[in-house]
Amino acid sequence: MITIHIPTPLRRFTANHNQVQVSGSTVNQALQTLAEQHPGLQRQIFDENGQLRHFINVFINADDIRLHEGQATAVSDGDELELLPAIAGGNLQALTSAEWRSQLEDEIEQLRASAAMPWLQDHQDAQILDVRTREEWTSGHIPRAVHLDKGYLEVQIESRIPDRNTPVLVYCASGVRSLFAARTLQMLGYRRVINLAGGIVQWKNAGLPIETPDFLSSEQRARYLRHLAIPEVGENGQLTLLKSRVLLIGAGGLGCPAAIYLAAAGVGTLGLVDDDVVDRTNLQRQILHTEDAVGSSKIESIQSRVRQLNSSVNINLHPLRLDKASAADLFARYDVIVDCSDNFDTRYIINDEAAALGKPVVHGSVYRFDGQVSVFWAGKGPCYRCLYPAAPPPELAPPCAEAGVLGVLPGTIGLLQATEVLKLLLDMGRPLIGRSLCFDALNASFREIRYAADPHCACCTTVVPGRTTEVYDEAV
Amino acid sequence: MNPNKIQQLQLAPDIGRQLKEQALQALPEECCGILAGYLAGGRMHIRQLLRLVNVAQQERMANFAVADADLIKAARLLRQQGLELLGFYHSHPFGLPAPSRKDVASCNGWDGYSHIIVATDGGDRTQLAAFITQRPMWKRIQIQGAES
Repeated sequence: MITIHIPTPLRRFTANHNQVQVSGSTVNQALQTLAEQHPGLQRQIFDENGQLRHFINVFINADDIRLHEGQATAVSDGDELELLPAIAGGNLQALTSAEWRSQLEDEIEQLRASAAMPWLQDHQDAQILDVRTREEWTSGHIPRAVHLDKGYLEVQIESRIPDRNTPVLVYCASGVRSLFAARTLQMLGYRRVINLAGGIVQWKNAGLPIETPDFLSSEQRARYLRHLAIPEVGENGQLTLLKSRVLLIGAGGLGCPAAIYLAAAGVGTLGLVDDDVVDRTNLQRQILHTEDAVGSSKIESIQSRVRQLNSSVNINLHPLRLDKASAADLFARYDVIVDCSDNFDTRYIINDEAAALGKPVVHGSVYRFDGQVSVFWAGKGPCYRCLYPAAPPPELAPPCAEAGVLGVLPGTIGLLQATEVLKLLLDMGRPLIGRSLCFDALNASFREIRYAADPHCACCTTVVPGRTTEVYDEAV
Repeated sequence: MNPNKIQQLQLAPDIGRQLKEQALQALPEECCGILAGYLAGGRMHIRQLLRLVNVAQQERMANFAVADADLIKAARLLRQQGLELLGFYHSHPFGLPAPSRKDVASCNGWDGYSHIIVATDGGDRTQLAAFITQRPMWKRIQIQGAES
């Protein structure tokens, strides 16, 4: 048997015995056995990760085990083990890094990986905070975590985690940097801050899940830097845009400005639907088509201009006139449908098929000096038919060719549509659902028309019993 | 021994004088050592000091460290004598009889070790204060018999 001498302060865990006999063939085994026999000693001797606590020196007979093979040192019958604390201090107020760290290890609540998982399940409101560098983050992180490099912690934490009552589980690679970060959070008033002992390394070793994020290349970061600076967009938002698929129906006055700005913003895939060719009368407003392009395909003309601006955008050309069958087929492959068409037949096809698939439609239309924009999204709000159950008689709504349109107006409206598209893709702000924004160029004014889903709408499924259609104007 | 229940440190005769003498002798450096004795009736009775060499690598005027080898020797010696290793002492030259940030950060051991800090003022005046470690702080406890 091995004799372990118990330091005076630990005897309350050994029923006051000043020595305990254990068996084991190494120092580590002997200590483990000791902690099993006297469970109160577990936390006194070992830390959250099962490592010997940092301040403890272990001696075998009269030798420090570090003079032999550390905790792997062999022990045999008759050997004596003794645990003693490392003792240092002094009047100096300044701490060494190691001293500060050991103090924080005492003061900050720590959870090891295996205990962190159930804790997170019990604390759904908790935020996991990764304070490693961007490079480390991109190589894999804990799911649900947010990343904030420790270097930016003090200046950015309040915008990332505004509520100081949010419990925060902070981690880094090994649990050391995050310990100092945890102290910073405490100083900033975060009430419950827990350090993940052993960091993501122990998390991985425990077989817990890791998520490897998509991340922007340095080229993409440079290109979209102004987006990254907006918290509502940021890197995640830009990644979302890059993965987004937007279908534009109509490659004319509305489609041109919408397409080029969506491409510039980094929408990953643009589908272009139009079977028309560029006509000389288009050049007054259809801003992407050039004199050279007259007589050639409109969607190819847009494609070549978009490529010059942002070659990374995927462009799908759909040279067809939209009908029910092609709409159903195409819409399923896109996230948002942008209605840049110029006729009621197409608008109703777009509306009906999008409503059937539950896809949002960003609608725009222009007439002389007036334009309007709205978002139709069956299931979340009214559809186009709720507002206009049937096409107006042709004499009330003459086509653009007859009525005419101020050349710059489609630019204004097309860009309002592009703005709504980005809002929908990034789930930010208040999209124009159930609202129509009307622009009066002559008066230089916007007004908003609000409307509700029609409970008797022949198209959409947003049937709300007892609700009546209500249309009223509101000056903006 | 429950550290919460230790309210007093009782110094045997002459221990107070030895502490002061060691602190003054060591000037301008810090002195350090072990408090040995026994526990009885909620008190730590300090019967003996074991002075140890201050092995701090730098600034021993404001730092102390104990060699691990000295500590195990002392522990074994005390066992032969039938005394307990109850705590530690060190001095704060030209300082206060209160634990420094450094003391609290790195001199804890397990909860329930006692510490005496001997502060000197540059002349021959000294002040003693006793503490018991209770992470993350040191709790001040009464000290008896320091003047005898």
